[in-house]
Amino acid sequence: MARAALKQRLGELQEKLGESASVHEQELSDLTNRIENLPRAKNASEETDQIRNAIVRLEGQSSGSQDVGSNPFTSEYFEKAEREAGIEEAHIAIRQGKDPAAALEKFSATDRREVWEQLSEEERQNTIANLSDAQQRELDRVLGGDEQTVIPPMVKNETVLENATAKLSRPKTDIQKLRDATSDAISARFGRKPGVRVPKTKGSVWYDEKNQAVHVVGGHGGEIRIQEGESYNFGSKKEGENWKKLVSLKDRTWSDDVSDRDKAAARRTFRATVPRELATKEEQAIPAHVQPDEGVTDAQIQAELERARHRAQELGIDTSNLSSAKPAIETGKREEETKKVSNITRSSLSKTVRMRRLFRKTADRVKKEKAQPWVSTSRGRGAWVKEPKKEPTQSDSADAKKDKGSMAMAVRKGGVDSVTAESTQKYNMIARGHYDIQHPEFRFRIMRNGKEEIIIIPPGIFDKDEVEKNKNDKTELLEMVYREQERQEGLKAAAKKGLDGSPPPTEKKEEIPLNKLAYGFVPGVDLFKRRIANWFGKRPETEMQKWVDGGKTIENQDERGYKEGMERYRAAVRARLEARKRGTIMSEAEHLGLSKTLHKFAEDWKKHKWKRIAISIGLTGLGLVGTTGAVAMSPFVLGGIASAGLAMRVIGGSITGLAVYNTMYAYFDRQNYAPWRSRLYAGLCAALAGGTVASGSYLLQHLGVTDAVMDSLGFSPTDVTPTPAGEGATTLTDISPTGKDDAISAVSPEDSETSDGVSDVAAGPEGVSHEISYDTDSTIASKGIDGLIDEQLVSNGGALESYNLPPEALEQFKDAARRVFVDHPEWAQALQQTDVDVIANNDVVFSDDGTINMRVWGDPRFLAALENTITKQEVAHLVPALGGEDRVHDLIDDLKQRYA
Amino acid sequence: MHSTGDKKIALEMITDEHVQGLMKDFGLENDTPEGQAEILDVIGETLMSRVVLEILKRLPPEEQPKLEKYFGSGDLKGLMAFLAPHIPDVERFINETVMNELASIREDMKRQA
Repeated sequence: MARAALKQRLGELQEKLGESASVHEQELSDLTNRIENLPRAKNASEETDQIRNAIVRLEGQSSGSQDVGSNPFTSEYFEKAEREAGIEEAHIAIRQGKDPAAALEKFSATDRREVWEQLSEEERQNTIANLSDAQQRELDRVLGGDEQTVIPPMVKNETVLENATAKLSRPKTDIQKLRDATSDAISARFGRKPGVRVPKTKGSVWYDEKNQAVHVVGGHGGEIRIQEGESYNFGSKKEGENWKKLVSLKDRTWSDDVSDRDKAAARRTFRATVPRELATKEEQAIPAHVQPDEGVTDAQIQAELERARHRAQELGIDTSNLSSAKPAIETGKREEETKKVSNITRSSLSKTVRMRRLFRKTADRVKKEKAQPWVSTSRGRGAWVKEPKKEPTQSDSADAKKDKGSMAMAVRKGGVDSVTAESTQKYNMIARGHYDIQHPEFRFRIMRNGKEEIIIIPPGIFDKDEVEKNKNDKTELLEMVYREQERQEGLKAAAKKGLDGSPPPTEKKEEIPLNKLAYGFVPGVDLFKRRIANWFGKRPETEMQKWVDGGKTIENQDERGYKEGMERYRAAVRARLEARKRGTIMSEAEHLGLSKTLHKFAEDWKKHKWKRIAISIGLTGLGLVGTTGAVAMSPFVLGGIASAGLAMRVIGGSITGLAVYNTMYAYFDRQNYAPWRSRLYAGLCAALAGGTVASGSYLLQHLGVTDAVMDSLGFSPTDVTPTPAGEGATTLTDISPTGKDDAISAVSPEDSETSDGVSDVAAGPEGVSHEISYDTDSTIASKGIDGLIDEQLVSNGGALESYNLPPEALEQFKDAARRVFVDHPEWAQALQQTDVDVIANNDVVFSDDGTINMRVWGDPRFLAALENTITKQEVAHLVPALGGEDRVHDLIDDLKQRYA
Repeated sequence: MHSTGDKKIALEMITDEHVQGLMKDFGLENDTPEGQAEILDVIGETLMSRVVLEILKRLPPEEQPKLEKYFGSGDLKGLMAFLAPHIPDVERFINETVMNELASIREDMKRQA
């Protein structure tokens, strides 16, 4: 049912998208494939949810009704932000004396003048006065050429220009005459000649806003209409290709980002507009009705759909129940019916896809079916060429024997270690293949056991060159695919075995599923998003959704869309901030003649990467980490930020997990853990640390990695300059113990081997040995919170004792810890009696669907604290890492019983 | 050199809510920690650039180049002593500068959104 419903929905969406469907062609095609393959999905329910979300998202995009103000992820928002940042940047460049033409050229023709005129009259005059003649001419061209000159006419030497033009002009060929005629015709319609120059090209176009199109004289002399989202090659044979994509007709903006798919579409359009007298015989042979935009009408498609439904009914097949058809075909009749239905469902494919197939079919006929067993085209859409349907047998044709021979040869060549009778049988079943080399991942469409399958090999597994080299060797290529497929299946089975209680899979065998799991694994909200996104379809009313999104829904944002959207948005914010920095602060400094010193500061800032990280962490106000980070900053920065109060508070409250994550990642990375495992463990630590300062510090200490943490921050006991007596006691030293600017981000294993701090825990998680057993209640009762802090974190083997930190830094840390413990005494108590070294106990179980189940043993007060005291955002970090809301409740119940 | 008491006051000035509000104003409240850190790095530089500029403005021209030697020098005490004659109550000055710039950035972001 789900599949039928999804197909129906996708069909409606395609109708709704109408002409703009081509913009989403790839996504629509992917969705069609995914729906087709739904029964074979590993987790059909999850896949259904994801497809549904993707359709809803596309639908949202097509409606165009998003409120820019309330939703920062709209393209309008990004474009606006990027445009403003771009304008500001151009102004700065011009003010700094850079070539104005270069600065303005990146804008659309209409924008350039606007951007230019936003400068003051004085600035414009000064700029022009400082330009060379050539630069002035270039500026003149950029700002509109002959029509809107900014340069006095006497600057131009008309005669020279005319002579040059005459010299360069070539004898007019027939095509040239045709171009001129077409140009005249278009010019007459639009009342201007020539058209408007397209940026960074030698081509001109006519904008037809009334009909939402751009007109251009094609290289063949015909007229071509370009619509938004479409592309055109403005290059020439002599100078090479120069593709531009029309981004906005209204704003007259063009983009260089032209995909191969766009180019292929443009070429088709181009061919379709070849004047009859210039068309090749092959082009003339293509019937007009298969030309794009003129072929199959919606009505025809609807009629065909109706016929298909009717035929399905005649066959007695319930098309609404296709998804329940068993993958394994039970009988020959059933197989036949399935094939027929498959054909019917194919007929309901989008107009675009059908047009393309019609086009190919005709083209193939014209080419007299020059069939190749394996076809790959430069357009990234290999034509499907059928091999004889008859399955080869022992007594089959010479071709089949040849195929078998090549298979045997492949085996003899070595390297094909998984060729078995079964795989030979599979190979013999292959009826057709498709290989799409342009796609980021490799897709193979094969026929196996009479069924069509799409095998997707993720990027990074196959070498593109190797695939390209073997594209005509079906045996080798398919063996590559099968080997990879079997490997993945084996790994999945191994991973599943581990979950079933059998010995855990080896590190190597875990690689694929866990890489998949670890991909994009980051602590905190992003992780939580991933989990919530999975849960959402099942639990739409969950409170956690509100916690994460402040009440907003996230059902329209699948993981990839969200991530990409957030990246784009962040880039826009960054661009604004950078523009502000340069445009406001630096400009003011330049105006006052103070820019030199400010530039030196900027250099210092960039130079000391580790300090910047420390500031980022220090800005967060992270007790241990933040304080030591602040100490590690240059005194000037400390004097600025720390005394301004930022050092302790800017980041900390919101993303404390970051610091824990960073430090833990550095630690695990130093232990030579695989990157994914380092991320995973660090994420777990960050999640466990929640969002409170001391809890994170305590956790780190409890895990016995305090030394490593400090070391990874750039501190080690032997490196820290001891506080000198007297005057030194109040001097903060710029400590750069490793002598490296990037001590945090680039910790080498070699460094770790020489670190005393690391060697204590070099055995890895199993080596955790810091057992702390305090009688917390009596400690607090007898010594108070300060005593607890002092005993646990400052002295008695505490985190800071061995570092001989300056008294002021110690005070800062104690102050932060005190604040947290006073605010959350239950943490102080519960955490001490809770064994949260989940890593040491290997009580982390990874399931195939990406869920992480982590067993936490400890005082129920710890979990009660989780339940009652931590903030929603902290829960957002923690709960998913614990395996979900239900899992947490189960754990709490379990632990309550255990400790009752 | 500032006292612990001063710092406590300063600490209270920027709360979790401030930070969360800042991230929210920037639309980054649900971004990854790494993403937030990236932006905070830029904010950090922006704030510090403003502080440096404001300090420079208050220094006599002949004293302005001297500020450079304190960048990364480790001599906080010397820095504070250098600034004291020209900027009374340096800490408060920096604090206000940072807060003003922060507010300005926030308004700027809101306006542009």
